[in-house]
Amino acid sequence: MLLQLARTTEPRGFRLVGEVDLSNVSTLSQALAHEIEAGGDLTLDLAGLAFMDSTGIQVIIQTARQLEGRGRLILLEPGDLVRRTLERVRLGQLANVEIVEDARDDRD
Amino acid sequence: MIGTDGPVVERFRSHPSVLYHIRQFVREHATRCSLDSEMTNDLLLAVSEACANSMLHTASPTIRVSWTLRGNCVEVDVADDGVFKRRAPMVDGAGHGIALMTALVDELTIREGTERRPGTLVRLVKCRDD
Repeated sequence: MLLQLARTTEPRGFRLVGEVDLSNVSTLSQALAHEIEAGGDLTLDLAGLAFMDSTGIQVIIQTARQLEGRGRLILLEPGDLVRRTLERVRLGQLANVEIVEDARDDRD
Repeated sequence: MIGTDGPVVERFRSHPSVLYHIRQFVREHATRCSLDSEMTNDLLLAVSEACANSMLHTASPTIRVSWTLRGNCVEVDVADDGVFKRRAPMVDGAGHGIALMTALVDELTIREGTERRPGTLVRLVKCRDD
């Protein structure tokens, strides 16, 4: 399964469905680059993401760093594999990264 | 999950678009060997990283992935015909794949292919917690 990226407006960001790896990570980084420029909080809905490799993690880390001082990077409902990977690289330690485990109440 | 099974070997084209199929190979055998989801996920990521590294750092046209079950442990070999291109000290962003692999499995062995002896082998061993 390839990666599907859907832009979301409330909250502003993207919904990721499928798997992120070396083959399609540039699609993700290009989509994010535009939104990073605009500044403000950015939300990635990861509930439908079944896999993410270290190249995807790098894009997430870079996104958070580039947003520093201008907005938060909010990661919604990562699945088991993605959540464990984010924990392993201690992504939550970045000051402007927020991992939301159960976002059902926040969504429309 | 006791006993010995394999090795099951499959050859893949060395191209990033094939990584998904390599993960499907891992998923299929993990299911067949009744691995739990935690062990499956760790192996899935480690094998995908090993294959991506091979694609990035060698010019090998193919990658062989083999799966062997030995008692409580799964041994996955990722082998290519390439010569490992040594890199200068890692800059920010590089080298995360190997660090991640180390964290994911119980044993990681890398035998780098050289000009005189091509063929890089990465062996990943993951054992069930008892």
